[in-house]
Amino acid sequence: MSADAPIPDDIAFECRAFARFLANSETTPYVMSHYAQLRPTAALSATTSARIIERGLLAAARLGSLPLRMADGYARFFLPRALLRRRLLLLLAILENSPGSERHLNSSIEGSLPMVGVRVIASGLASTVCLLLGIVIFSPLHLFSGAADAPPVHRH
Amino acid sequence: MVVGSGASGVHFALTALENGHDVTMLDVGNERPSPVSPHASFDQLKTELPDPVSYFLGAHGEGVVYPSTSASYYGHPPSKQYVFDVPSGFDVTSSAMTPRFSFARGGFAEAWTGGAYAFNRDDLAPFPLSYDDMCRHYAIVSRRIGIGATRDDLEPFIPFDESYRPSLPLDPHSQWLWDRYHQRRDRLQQIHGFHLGRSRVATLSHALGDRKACGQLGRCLWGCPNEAIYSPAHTLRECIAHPRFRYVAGVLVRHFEYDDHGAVTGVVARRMHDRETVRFDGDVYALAAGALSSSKIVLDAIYRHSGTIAVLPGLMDNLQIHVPFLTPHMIGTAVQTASYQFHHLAFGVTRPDPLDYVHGQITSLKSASVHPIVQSLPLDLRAAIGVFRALRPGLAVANVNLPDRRRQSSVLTVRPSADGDDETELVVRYGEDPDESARMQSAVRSVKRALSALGCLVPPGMTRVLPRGTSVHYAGTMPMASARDGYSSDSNGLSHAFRNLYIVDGANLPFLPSKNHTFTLMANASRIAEGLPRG
Repeated sequence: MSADAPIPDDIAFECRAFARFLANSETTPYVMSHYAQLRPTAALSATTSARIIERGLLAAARLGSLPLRMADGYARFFLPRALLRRRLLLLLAILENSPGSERHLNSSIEGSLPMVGVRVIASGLASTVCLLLGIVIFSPLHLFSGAADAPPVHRH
Repeated sequence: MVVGSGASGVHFALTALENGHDVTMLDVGNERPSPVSPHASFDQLKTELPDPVSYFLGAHGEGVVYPSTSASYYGHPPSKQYVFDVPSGFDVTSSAMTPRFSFARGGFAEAWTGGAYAFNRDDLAPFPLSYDDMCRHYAIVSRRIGIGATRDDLEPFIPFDESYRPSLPLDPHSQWLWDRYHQRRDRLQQIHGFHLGRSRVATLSHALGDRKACGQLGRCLWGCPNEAIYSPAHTLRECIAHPRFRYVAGVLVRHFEYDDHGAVTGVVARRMHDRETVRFDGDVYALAAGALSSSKIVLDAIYRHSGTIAVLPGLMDNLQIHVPFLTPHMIGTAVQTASYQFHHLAFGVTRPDPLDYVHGQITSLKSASVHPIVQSLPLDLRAAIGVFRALRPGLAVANVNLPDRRRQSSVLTVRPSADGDDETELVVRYGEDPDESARMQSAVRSVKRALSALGCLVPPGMTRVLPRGTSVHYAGTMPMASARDGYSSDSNGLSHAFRNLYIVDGANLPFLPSKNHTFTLMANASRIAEGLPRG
């Protein structure tokens, strides 16, 4: 896809949803253009996206922030090379280097140790709950589609 | 006739020039791109560049780091790709190691972090020379490149002399670790054998020649626009300004030719732009292309002269282990991204055998790529980003280096190319030391305990043993030896097999201490050049 090509609606929708999830921010034309352009590079050469679990994770990610978080948490532990996670990492890499979103991602949370500690614990608890929900939802699908992880990574 | 413009080649050449020799240097010489926005800090690059994503991630997203169990917590960005680009036709197969090559003008040190550590008497005990033979050349090179150092607890292990310059100012995290170490120094030294000091780095705290001092821009990894971090390309500039120096870039040396008495008669190279074969003649030849490339040139020369496939045993490489840790005291403070990015602190862990001394460097996290780090946290990415931002000012990595010894099972050889095109491919077979796993575990355990004693937390499951070959500290295939042993060289680097061939780079090290060897390569190359026969 060239930089000037119109961005398909499904990619734009995905980019917006992922940006809200990762950085609590609305995306910009600059971010979306790079995401659309680089999105094919996030795929593995021996694609796994045809697998039922991969499709399930991607489909869940489109339903809202909570399902996306459950899908990403599940992928972190059980399918770390999943296409969903690779696309999220691609967008995160773009966001951390893009004007507007870079400041949030490259800064630290300042405050007293107890205050920051509470935030860390809250994040950890929320992540754990989402992971447990993700296990309940996605593990049957994963078992059904064959529990093996993706084949070795080969970048395009 | 010098092959290669890396750390060894340029200091060999400069000392040879200073001693009245004419020098021709042959080099592929991939060139460094001009720095973008030289005055901008790491953060400013992201707001001032017209297309920061393409700069930081590359035009094709090659700078994006995807999940991998063996990946480093930091990698080389697209702006440094020229350092690792390999010419077509330079083929390599390897086992138990992932060797890397550099054909850049300045070699691997175009992408180093500046660690410059002199070997001490213990380190040099397996060498056919003494520290006294080396110390003057350490000082010569130190004055040329500008090394910042401080008298500290590492002095017994890393000799200090008056040629060093002031160290860079510490960042807040490193300062806290430094202060805490001095509060708990006796316990750390006596119980854990842990000694902390300032990194010896070839990064300028004050201007030197046309190089500016560190501007605290936080973009060290992407290429210092001030040239505060030393590169051999700086010394190459000095050489090029010399009337008796000739720099021939754009040629890949394939092999040399020699007569039946073992005298090298010429060097055969391939011109990069038209792939034509060209020949260069000299009186004395010096291989400084890096241990692997220099070895391939020798192996190819033997193969083409006699049809013999020779084997060079003894390949060494420093195993590196990254131990991430957290300093709770720093949590809640502001992170300073506009700050010298690389390590400020170095440490040593003593062992009963001085040759097993463990060396490491501590890099506190300042400016960095976020996505490679957050993906390693055991959380979904939203939570991982939040936790990372909370912990960021307290995050650091201890990069632990282990020594290596020559073994007959670690070899380099060549084999004729499968393409039948009259070329060979380099074969790298690294043979692991069966005791290394135990030594590594012991070293990592010691480092973790010392970090805990400092008041830091070492999260379980995040220590990473980097793939063998990552350090690019390759050495040992044509070692200096008192008596001839295969394709060894004498204490002056002169090959025992070829009468007028000098082995100048890491290939001539008979032992690889855990300390980064680049400074020693430079000093040793200078020492060898000073010993060249005159007239």
